[in-house]
Amino acid sequence: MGIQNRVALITGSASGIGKQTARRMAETGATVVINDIAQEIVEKTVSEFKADGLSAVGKTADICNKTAVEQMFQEVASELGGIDILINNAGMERAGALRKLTEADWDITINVNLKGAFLCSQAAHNFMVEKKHGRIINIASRAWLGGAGQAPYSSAKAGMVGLTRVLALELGAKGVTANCIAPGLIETPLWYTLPEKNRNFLLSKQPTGRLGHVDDIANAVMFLADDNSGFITGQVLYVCGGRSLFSG
Amino acid sequence: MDMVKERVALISGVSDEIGQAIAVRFAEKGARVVVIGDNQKSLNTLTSSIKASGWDINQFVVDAKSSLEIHKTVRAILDQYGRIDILVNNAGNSYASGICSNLTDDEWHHSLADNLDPMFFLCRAVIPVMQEKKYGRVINISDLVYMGWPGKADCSAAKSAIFGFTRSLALEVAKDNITVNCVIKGDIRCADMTDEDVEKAAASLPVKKLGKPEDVAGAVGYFASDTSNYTTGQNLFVCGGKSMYFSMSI
Repeated sequence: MGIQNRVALITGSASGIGKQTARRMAETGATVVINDIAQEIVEKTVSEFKADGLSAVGKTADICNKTAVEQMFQEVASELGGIDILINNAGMERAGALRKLTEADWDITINVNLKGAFLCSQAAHNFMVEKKHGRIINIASRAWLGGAGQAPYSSAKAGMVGLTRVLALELGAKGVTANCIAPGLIETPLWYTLPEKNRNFLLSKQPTGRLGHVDDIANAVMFLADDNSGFITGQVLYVCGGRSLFSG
Repeated sequence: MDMVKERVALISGVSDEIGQAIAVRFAEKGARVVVIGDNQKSLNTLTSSIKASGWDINQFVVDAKSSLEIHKTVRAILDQYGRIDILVNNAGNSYASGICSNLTDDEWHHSLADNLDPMFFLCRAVIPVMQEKKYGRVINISDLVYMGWPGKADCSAAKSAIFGFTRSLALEVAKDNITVNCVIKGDIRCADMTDEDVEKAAASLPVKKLGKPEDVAGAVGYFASDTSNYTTGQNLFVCGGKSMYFSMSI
């Protein structure tokens, strides 16, 4: 039970939330597929995991490329016997005021965050339906509720919520659940690139008064991915220290 | 995954299968379980069964709608255990009295009191204890009927209030390392359902099957865990996707 012996592919898992989630899943007995866009970091992450005795394979692929995505999932199914859990974690942000954003900012943000999740879900779902078991977990963001300066990112993450609900409705009768996790502020290297003034301001808005940790997200993923969580689908689970309770 | 070993877990509303499943889950994960209710026979059956498995459980008979009795019981629990780490508010019911025009004052008040008073009295008594210890997990159990249904205005109102209460309390205690969350149950298969009831209900769900009491217990376990300290004020629907049919579900 749990996620032991399940095959889990996590996009964008060579660093940050994706990497820690993959690590925790592997520690719990899943075989994890590390996916990211750059081969070098995929191989480095897989080597780290294997050195720690964890079961991991690497697949370098651009999740915005339909052909590459389909090939990746075909290989995973062929090499590992199928795919049980898909974590659509790959994401990025181009922030800026509405008047300053470019078409390129919009396109890349929507593609990486949302189109990638769509292509991976489309490629993975038949393998799950065949086994009558699957878990699709989309890493959205509390930002889907809207934030000034985040038009592309908020829109992409809101799109993930809609996609999640459609997946849940279409695949529910086939043993596949689809859920979203909406992380809030999480302590990652990216957090420390923000000016101190900005960090203090954001922290002042946190009901808990502190940041989250990558493990908070990993725990939520493992709960939703669990074999026993089959009656939870189409949901958004906020892991944000209460920030979603008000966006002011 | 739900790390509750050695935590003192107080659970109300264990006359129903969901409350019982929560108690069993916590007990088997190593928590020190305390169950309260007004049905002595039901409490005895549950605690005997859990003790027979070698797990830690105690019981107190109490009318959870009495502020005074709740206060006394919480004091007694603290005398014995020294703390309360987890509070699960499952006391309540989904009984609906009929269409609004026909509701009597008593029916309205009873619905609200049955579903809200135990939660309020218990939280009021237990939260200061959690604040002193700088640790707490409060989980309130609501029902999908909160989305609204004809003939269920009283019950829907009560179950909706749990949501608002949860969010307010979560904001009040967020800096005390206390989380407050809500699990909203949908169509859960219970022993008194006929096969026909089950089939009809299942057909209406995206997952085409009913849930089990253990599904709700699993969600409660997630929120109750030592490791779930960054999720607070949230709703988690355990409903096989049925919440997606309603516009208020996010």
